[in-house]
Amino acid sequence: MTEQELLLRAKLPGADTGIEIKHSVCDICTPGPQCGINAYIKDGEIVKIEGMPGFPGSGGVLCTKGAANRQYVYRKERIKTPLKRVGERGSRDFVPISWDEAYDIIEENLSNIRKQYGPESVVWFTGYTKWIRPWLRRLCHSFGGHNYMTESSTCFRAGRMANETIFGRDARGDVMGAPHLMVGWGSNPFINAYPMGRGFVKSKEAGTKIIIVDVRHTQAAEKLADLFLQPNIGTDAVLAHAIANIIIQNGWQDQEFIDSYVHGFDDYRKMVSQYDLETAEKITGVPARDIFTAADWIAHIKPTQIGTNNGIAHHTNGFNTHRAIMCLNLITGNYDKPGTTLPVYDTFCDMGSGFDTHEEEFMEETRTPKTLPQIGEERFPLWNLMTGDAQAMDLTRQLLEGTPYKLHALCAFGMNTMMFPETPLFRKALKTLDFMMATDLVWTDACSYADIVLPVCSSLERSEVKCYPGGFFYYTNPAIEPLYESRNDVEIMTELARRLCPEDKVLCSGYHECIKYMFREMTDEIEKGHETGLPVRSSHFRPYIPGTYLKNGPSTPSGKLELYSELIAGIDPSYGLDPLPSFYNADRKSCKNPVSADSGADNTCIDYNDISSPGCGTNSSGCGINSNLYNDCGSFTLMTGARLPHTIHSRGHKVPWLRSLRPDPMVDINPSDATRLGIAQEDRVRLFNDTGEISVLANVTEVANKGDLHLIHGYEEANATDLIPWDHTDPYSGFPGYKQVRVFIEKAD
Amino acid sequence: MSYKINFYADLCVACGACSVACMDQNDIDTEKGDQPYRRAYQTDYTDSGEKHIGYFSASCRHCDDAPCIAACPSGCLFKDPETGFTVYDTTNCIGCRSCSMACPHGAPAVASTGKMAKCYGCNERVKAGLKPACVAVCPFGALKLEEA
Repeated sequence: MTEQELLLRAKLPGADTGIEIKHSVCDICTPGPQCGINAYIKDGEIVKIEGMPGFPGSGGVLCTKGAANRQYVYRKERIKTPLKRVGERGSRDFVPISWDEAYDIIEENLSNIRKQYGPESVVWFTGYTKWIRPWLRRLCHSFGGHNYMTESSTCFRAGRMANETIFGRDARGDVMGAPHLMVGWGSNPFINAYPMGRGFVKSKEAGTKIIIVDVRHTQAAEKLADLFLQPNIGTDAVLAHAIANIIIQNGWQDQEFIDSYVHGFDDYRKMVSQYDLETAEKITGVPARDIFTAADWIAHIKPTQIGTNNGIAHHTNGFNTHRAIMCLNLITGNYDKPGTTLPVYDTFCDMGSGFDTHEEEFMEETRTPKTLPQIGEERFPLWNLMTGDAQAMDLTRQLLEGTPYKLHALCAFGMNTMMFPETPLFRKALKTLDFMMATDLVWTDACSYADIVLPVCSSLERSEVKCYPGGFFYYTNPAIEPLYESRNDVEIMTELARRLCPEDKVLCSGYHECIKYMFREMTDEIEKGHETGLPVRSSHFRPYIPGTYLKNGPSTPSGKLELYSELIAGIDPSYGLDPLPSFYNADRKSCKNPVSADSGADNTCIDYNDISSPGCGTNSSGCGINSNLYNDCGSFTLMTGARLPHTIHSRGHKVPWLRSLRPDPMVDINPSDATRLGIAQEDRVRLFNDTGEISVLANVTEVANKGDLHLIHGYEEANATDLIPWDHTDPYSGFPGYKQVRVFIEKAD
Repeated sequence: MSYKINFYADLCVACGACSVACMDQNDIDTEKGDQPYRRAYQTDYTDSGEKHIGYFSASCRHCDDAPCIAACPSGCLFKDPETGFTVYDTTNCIGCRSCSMACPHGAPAVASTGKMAKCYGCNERVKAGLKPACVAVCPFGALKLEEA
């Protein structure tokens, strides 16, 4: 090779090669890390991606997914032009049209439907990415409606709600405050949130003790844990209550803190007293001595930071489980002190950065009084009360039943049908619509159900504001021109606003003006930051001083930190929501094997809600898990959504580089279960229950506990949510029980 | 000066970011079955009766006395004296796989082009003062460019 060829192969930036570096941001996962990118550009095309050195949080590196941004942007399935459906709803029969024609059709349909059926009959949904949320929320309100819903109906929001019932605000761990003990409950921060993983590693190197609680044997368990607890799926609340019980029985609680700041201790103490070590070991499968050690450490090591991540809330008892875990912070006085759990103050797009914006005002000021209940309000009143949004997990039902009123139109910005449990039923529900528009980067299943499909661009093709902890904001410039005829989502919303609610001058003014409106005290910084295209630490940054929040009184109904939630106590008792974070079994009560049911075999599981039940033992077809309360009917507990490093939801599955790291959908199964069922590595297996069936390959590994199966979601050819009944939901949050589904597994012929 | 890309197993979680960065740097066409020059692995193992999961990232070791160099009948492989990396010019490669068979780690492979391909240490990047793509991307610092 010549010198010039070698330099080109190396993709070295410079005049020799014609390659220049442009700054941008990765928006594949969102909205947490969102790492800074150096895009190597030659002749207007990305030729290579690298992390942006010195970037807040990421520090110049990228994760597996971020490293694949070039292929992610240039995917073959990119939608090139606006499209109009000409075939059956659900088919891929579309023809290209102009942007003007597409807007005209959308305007005509939405105007007519609003006129004929009212604004509530139009649903506004947004999935990934999340940068557009303030705009869509305002658009829904300015249109006159309230049925704005997001994929946070199933993501992080339940955990935040749980924190808000306890603390009055969302909560975060203070890693910078040098905790002496960190409890990562359901946390595997090496995957998907590596800056958090590095925080754990740094703390460990500094001598912090670490407890990891996870149903899977994760990277965190292997690399971080001084003590690793692996409970049976869905029993984490029992583990938390048992730890609390030991602490209280031994008088190890921080009574002074409780007396000063905590509400509901007596009721809580009574509730957790049912969970002695023996009972807890039986239910959770965690050895009693380990539960005791955890309690000992949590009670005696100060400061301690007990935190959990989104997965915990993805059980049908997830909301209370999240509360049960976070309540341990209250009884040990580990709150609002350096190195403990601190309150969160949002800045922008669900990110707390240490300065204020007018985002809330922007989203809310055009909201009109409700005349009809929002979607989900009648089934999940706590969700609507706490979020102000519609709950997307009731969309399938309302579309199909038409109660309490019929829905006629859906505007879906980045909708993934596989997010909806019992996806085939959701597809059927979409067919009831009079009109649907969809926007997306690439063609998805949801697009097939739309009347109009609009192509949007990636983060490298647009300009946007991101905020980061530590007072940083980053106003990007496009690294490349939008591909094909794609436009950015906010451009589309602005045009829709001009046509559907022209009286909203702010929304009609476009992205940059809206940013200036929301960041109005710092417009000079914003303009300058946009010009340089580099992260800026705002002069408005005020670091939070631990103790401030408690001193001023928590913003809960009681003005204290609540073990007993007065907010939940205010919900109509007919919903049966417990103000205490009580445990209930999230398993489905029946687990009929659709195959052997015909033969009259008894596949009925016992009711585990009765914790004194002796269980029915491990029968001949059973899985023989330690705790014989579980998995005693030949079935397994499937946890969907167990993350792999190279994908988030469905977003990596069709990116060839990422897909090559695991070409086939695979279910993790414990070696002893696999041996018993005659399943070998990479054998094809069927997963099935009375809701659905999928076919995947077996991955035989100790990552999975006995009796458990783990499967990442989002594969079109093996959609994990096909196995989850549409109404397998948490009554507190409306969240689906993605992480605890009863299934059968067998080797395929 | 001579370099090595050293691997620190304690810090690795087998996330595969190194593999993807290699694909991006080297335009690896995985759809044609081509493989990146560095791959990550996760495997169960038992240590003193305890079950563990191990995480690894593996590639060409750029051996001091590289057997692939001697094995190549076409003289494609050689050491860059400036960096110590085992580099190559495959103009004369006949795709005979002698290098693959000689390598104790199985690093060289014949790509869909019919020519040998393997890690070359991102030689030109290193000469320009940059890190190899896999080292630059690693979120946990498990791969380091170090003087040999």
